[in-house]
Amino acid sequence: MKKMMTTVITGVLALSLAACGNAGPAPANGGTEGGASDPNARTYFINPKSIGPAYWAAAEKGAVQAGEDLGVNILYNAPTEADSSKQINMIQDMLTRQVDGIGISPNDSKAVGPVFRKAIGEDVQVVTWDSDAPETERQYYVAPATDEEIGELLAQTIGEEIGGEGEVAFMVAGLGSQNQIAKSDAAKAYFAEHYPDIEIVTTVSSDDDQQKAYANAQNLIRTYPDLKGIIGFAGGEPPAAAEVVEQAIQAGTLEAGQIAITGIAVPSVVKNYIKNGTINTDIIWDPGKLAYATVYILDQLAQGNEITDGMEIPTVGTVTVDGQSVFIGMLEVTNDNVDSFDF
Amino acid sequence: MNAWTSRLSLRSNTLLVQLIVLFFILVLFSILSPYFLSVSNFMNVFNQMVEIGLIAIPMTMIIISGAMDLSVGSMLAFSAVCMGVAFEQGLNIWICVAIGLIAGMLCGALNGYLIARHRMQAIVVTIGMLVMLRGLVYVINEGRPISGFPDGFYFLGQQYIGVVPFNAIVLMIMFLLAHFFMKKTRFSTYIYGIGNNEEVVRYSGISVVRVRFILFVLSGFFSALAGVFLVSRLASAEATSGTNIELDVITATLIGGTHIFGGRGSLAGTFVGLLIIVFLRNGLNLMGVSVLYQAVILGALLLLAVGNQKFNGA
Repeated sequence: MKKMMTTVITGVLALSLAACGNAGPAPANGGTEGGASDPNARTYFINPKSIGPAYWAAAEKGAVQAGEDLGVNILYNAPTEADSSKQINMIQDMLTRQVDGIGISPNDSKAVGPVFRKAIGEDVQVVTWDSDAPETERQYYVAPATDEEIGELLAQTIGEEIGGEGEVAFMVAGLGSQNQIAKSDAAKAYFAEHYPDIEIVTTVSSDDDQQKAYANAQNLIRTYPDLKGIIGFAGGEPPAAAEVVEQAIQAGTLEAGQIAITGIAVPSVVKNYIKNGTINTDIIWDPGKLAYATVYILDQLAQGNEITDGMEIPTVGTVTVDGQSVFIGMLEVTNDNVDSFDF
Repeated sequence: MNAWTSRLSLRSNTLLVQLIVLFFILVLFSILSPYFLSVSNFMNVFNQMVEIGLIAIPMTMIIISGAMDLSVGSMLAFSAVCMGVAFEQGLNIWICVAIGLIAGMLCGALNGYLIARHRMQAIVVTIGMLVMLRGLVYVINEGRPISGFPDGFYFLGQQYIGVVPFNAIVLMIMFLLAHFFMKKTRFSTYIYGIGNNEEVVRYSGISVVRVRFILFVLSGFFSALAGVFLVSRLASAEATSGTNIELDVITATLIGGTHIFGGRGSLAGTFVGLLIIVFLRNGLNLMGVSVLYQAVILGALLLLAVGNQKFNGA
């Protein structure tokens, strides 16, 4: 009897959670199940690397907005950790669901190859965004700028701030991630060419884990007392570095301005650090617009339209198309404009 | 009356409850999602559950014996990366597979040696291995994914025989073999015995050290095998492979009715537990439910399963 109860409770629980889960995170997708909504509306699966970080939450807003503007259904989902095999399982499930297009930010640029091939074979549009998979059959890659440009801009920023010499450390979100490798390699090359006196002492990885990023930053300032600069190559790294540096300054173990920090971070997360002067310049693009552009491109492809250089995407603006890459442009966040961003 | 029925069919009864839960999930999702109930979706799910399923076999045995192996995910990645690095050196792919399997067994043997021979705590040793091996993986491949394996190798993880994925067939055969093994051999009696009362087994003149050692080597082997299949399925050996897979494996085992303190459990139960978690995840994915809710649902299911278990044990 009690076992029967357990069974029933489990079922009811699963059902109710499923129902509220459905209403909660994906409002644009209201009632796609059972074919209740407009059966002609196209459905796109937008897949970030993981769910949780503020960066991806900002992207979700843009994707959902695009869904509303274009009258299409958006499913925005990913594993809770940046894990390639779980991500690919999820993509396979979405192909079973017969979505019209997938926008993927791959955790492993090569591992998505087979599932992309399957998608293309089933006439599903495939676009990568934020992180690319150049050796696959994906149709387009939506990015703020090339990884090289971003890496060089970061290297140039820190090079100017520390006066062109000294020890610099790199903080990345994942050592295996294509966009992280490309950006840090470009920064390295920029230093070698323009600032030969800058020494890159180490590259630490947080695996997209905020606590680990924080611990990494603590270890950096302890291990390298002469450290002059930190570049954070992903959204979680600069705030972790800034927090640790501010704490060290308060504790008296570090002088203000001793370590310069720059990197890629959502303005709202680093706002206080920029106002305190711990971070002078932060590089960002609007992740919401990136996701918006991804949905837009998918929808154009699904309708059989061409993607052309200089095309105008509503709310995003004019984009540059170079081969199979679509660039939406970057923003520099400083003390002067930090309050003007709403993400 | 009550005592009589519960003693008679304790295990089969638990299995029945799990089957009801599984059936309930299947029916529920068939109603909620038009895409769920199809051959291609089911085969897709079977294809996805192979890695967790392979590791769940030795995990069930180890938990029945009253221990735990948390290092399986790291052993998986270690074997996968050893295989990948060997391949980059230009060795034949099947030799590389053998190297990967041997690497996994060596890790398992180290676990087994420390736990069985030196009687160290299994959880402590395997947490140590979990962290250390993951670190080693990054050292060996410098964090970069290894790919470009020959097409013949992708047969393991990507090929379908008829409509059934090849790796799912392998998983089924492994489960049947292991099930037979756990039902018919004296060795399995020792495993249950150690889980119930290690001292009695020891004083019966049976080498507890040997049994435990073999179990951990087995765990290393199956983790490595899972690694080989994962690399074949994803066409890439990466440093993050198998992260947190131990949670899925242990969840499947516990939902399958294996007792966390050992002594009770069955592979049939684990298999049903496995189906429950993979179908639950697949169904929720198809409905577009955010993973955050999926985690809540899985956790609640685990709590119910363990709560139910304690009830039985009393």
